[in-house]
Amino acid sequence: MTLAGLSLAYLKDRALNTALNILLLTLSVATLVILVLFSSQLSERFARDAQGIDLVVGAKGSPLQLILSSIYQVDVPTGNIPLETVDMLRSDPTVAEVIPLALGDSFRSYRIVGTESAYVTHFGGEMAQGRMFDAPYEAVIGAQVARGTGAGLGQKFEGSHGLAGDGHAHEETPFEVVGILAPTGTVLDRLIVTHVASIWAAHGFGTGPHEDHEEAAHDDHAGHDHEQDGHGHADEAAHDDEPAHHAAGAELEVTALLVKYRSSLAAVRLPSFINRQTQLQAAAPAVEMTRLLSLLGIGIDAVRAFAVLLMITSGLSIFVALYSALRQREGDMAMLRVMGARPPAIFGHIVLEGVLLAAAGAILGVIVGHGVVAFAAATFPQLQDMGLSALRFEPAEAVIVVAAIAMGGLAALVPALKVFRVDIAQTLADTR
Amino acid sequence: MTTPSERLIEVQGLRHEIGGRCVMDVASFSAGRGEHTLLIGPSGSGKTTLINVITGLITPTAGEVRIDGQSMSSLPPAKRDQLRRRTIGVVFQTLRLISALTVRQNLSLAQTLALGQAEPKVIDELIGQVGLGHRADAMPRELSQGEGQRAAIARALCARPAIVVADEPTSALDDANALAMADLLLSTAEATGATLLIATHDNRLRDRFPRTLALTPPQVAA
Ligand SMILES: Nc1ncnc2c1ncn2[C@@H]1O[C@H](COP(=O)(O)OP(=O)(O)O)[C@@H](O)[C@H]1O
Ligand SMILES: [Mg+2]
Repeated sequence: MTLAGLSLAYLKDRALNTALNILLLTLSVATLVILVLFSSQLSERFARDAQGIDLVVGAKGSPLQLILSSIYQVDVPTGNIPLETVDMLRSDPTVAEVIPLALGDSFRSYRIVGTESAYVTHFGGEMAQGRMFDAPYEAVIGAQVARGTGAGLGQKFEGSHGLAGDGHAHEETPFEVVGILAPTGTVLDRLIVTHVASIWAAHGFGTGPHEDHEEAAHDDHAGHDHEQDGHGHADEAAHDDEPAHHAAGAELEVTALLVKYRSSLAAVRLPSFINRQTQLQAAAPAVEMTRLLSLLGIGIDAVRAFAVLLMITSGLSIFVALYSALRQREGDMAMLRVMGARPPAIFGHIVLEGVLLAAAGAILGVIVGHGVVAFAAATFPQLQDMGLSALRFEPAEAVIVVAAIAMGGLAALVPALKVFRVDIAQTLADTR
Repeated sequence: MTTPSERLIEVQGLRHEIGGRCVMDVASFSAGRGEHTLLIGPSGSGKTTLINVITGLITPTAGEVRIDGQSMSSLPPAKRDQLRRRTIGVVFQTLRLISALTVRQNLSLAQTLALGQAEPKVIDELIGQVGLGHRADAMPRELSQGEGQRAAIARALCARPAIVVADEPTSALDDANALAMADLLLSTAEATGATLLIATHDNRLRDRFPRTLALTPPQVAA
């Protein structure tokens, strides 16, 4: 039996108290770990989806809504913009790349994105099966879509208007799956990607399904030939009352443009230039996501404050447990001194008691935290879609564990310091 | 006549004052290896104080205590603790068994502190010797008064100290138990060859000890 063993024996001797203190600490550490896992993994996921996109151009409205709908595919779009905006931006020497997006349709709640093959390339999408779309009504589906719908190559499906999956179907215009993407860990995984011309055609602004095959094959010029015979697809969720929806002679439209800069000069000039246009707005993903995270941050801070409060409570509880046992402990300390133990060793063994308790709570807290995240990810597929994984460990967790253990040691410090002040002869003379 | 090295305890001109009042005064005393001494005197005569000085827990106002040739009172604290750890086992009236540990664990801790490691065989043997073989894994609160005393004696002896000191080991006991306790101390000390020093105001023990050191309250003597 060593002094360290004695520390354990004391903990075992007041098992109920020890269990309660460990429970308190476990709850606090688990809460903090869950916060860390959610915020770091989700913000990393946010960053990954927005990576390389310097600016999003779309219809006027909320810039955050524009970013959420066009990059993360979670909100409804702000509206549509003229297709010629694409050419205008592509002719700008400070712009490296422009990817048009036509949004607003879905299949069984999986969003259909009308775009160009560059969109798939941007997210590092690679074909697991099949090939890239090169004609209207050909579609490439993300890994999660394939898993969720069970669709294989050659599968035909009809997109419906609206994003919730309950809009009216475009019955006469079936899409065909020509490619299935390998998982990318990005938003691409849960999208159905097709040529932008498919969307126009589905909404009656192109000719029928296969007729404009050749033109559509030229990604960079997609849609130019349609300018005189149709107009853009509008998202009804955002623009239910759009007056010119099917009006003849109207221009073709897209929903948003993802823009990559060539030079940093663009960041200075381009957003303000675009925002001066009556129909357009420009939003920088970095700015909007920082704003969103700082808004979410208020809620996160509240939960974190609660968890920290819980940790302080458990620290106080450990302190009270050790301090209230001090009278009996003084006798034990005196006896340990009689048996030849040195004061620093006795001090260390009492601090160790607090540290062991805290370490047990901290380790259990990490396990419970990851367990809750695993459970949440298994229960809510959306969280898995967002890339939440219980198997990843964040450096911040180590900080939490160290902080909890340090707090345990700190709580034991005052009772432990008593060993340097205890009057052995006096304590031993006490016959109670 | 004992040789110096065999004089395990040597006390010279020892005085201790608390708040200017002399509470203990011993001109000279010594005990050789394996000798058993009864330190007898009324309450307040300074027995406990003398024991605390001998074990190095308090520093006397004047005089010197030598334990196994080393001056306990002039050693630095760390050396004092070391000397006590290696050479002295103590039994108190209040026993002071560690309540969170079983009898066996109490002995094991004492051994680990004194010797650096536990010797399970020695522990089992000693526990059997004091008649606690069936109670080895009991917690102190589960022991009767008599069993607790046996455990405390076994703990004081388990690191084979050269000196065993007991402060009022029998004061709370009835006649039969007091004598049984004294006999157990004597026989176990005999078995290990330890020098035994028992401080008591209990005259019932006088017959058991060939050597006695009588203390009187210093202020009465002065
Ligand atoms: N820490 C102390 N403070 C004040 N007086 C003390 C202290 N320790 C002992 N004394 C006094 O010293 C005297 C001797 O005490 P002690 O050595 O305990 O005697 P004994 O053990 O023979 O009863 C007593 O009068 C006691 O009151
Ligand atoms: Mg006394």
